[in-house]
Amino acid sequence: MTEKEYKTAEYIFSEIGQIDDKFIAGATPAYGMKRSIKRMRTVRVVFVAAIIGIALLCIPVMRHINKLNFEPQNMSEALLKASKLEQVTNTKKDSIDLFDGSVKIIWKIKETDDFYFLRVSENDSESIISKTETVGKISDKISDGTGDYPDLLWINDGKGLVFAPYLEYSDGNIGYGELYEYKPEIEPNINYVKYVYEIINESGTNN
Amino acid sequence: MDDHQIVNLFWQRNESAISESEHKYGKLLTKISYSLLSSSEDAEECVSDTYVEAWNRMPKDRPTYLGAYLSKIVRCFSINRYRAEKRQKRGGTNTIIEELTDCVPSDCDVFSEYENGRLRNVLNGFLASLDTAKRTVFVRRYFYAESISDISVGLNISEAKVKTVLYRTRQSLKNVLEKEELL
Repeated sequence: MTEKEYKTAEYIFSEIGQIDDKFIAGATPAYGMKRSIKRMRTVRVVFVAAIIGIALLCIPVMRHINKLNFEPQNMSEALLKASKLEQVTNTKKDSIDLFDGSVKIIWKIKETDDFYFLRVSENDSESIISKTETVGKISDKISDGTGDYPDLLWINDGKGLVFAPYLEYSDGNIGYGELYEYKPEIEPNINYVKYVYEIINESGTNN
Repeated sequence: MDDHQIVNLFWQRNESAISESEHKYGKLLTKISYSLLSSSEDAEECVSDTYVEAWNRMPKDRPTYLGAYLSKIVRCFSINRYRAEKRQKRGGTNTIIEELTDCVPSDCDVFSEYENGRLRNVLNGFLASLDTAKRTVFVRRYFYAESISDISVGLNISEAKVKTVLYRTRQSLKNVLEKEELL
């Protein structure tokens, strides 16, 4: 590049300064906005990431809060809610092994063929059997025996023995009949309801 | 406040015209000047001179595009200052001018054409022939003296694309200048 070329280019550059105003106005850069544009892009990315992060965090938190907040008012409500928990197994009645050695809570939502069960941890096994044996003594009887219950409940000891908390304590009497069909006689005591729901709710596994 | 209102303030000799101009175009003018001089201090002085110049010229002029009008003034002041100081300091302007030598054959002489304003008309005709995208890139580089990266960010295109557009536009300008027998 010669000095003359440079000078000529300099004049062209200088003359570009006198071009039509409309070309200048049409190409005006976003002055003072460069950093803002970059910042806005960054803010947008961070905002989206934060939203996704919060959403991902909220799902388990909300589930947990939902679990903590729920307090059943009766057994029907407890079992209906419990049937939607992840750790609960949804199955058919013939698939439930009453002799598999593990204590199970089994229930059925009325007017469906769906059965649900959850294996109780070893720590709770003894306790739930014990409480189930006595619940019939402390619960209120259903006066006319025609209570409209949406579900039925059984506690299985894993050795073939099955307790029905909706039935009155028989003190050793054994009822014969269809295992999964019975007419409720008592409304299980509210403490028992909460206890059963708590066991189901706090169980993290169905194994 | 829109340009028309600010120009009216200049015409009314209302000093708030300067503060309104500064509020609306101060950053743009500083940016142009800084791009040419690479000195905040010099840029601030050029911008201040620009407002004074606009104040003095305005009863005579009535610009439609106040931003463009002020930009031309600040650019002119900045180039003059650059020329005065270029032996001591060479900023981004030097690079831009060197780029423009692409348009210049070795045996050219545009001084006389520059003086009689023919080059200006040819440049306007050339810019009018470009599509908006190319014209925007060209004007932002050679009028506003923006860096390649700033143009890239501002127009949301790659730097390589900006360089390609500029190179091709310079070649086109060279052809036009030769065709017009200016160079």
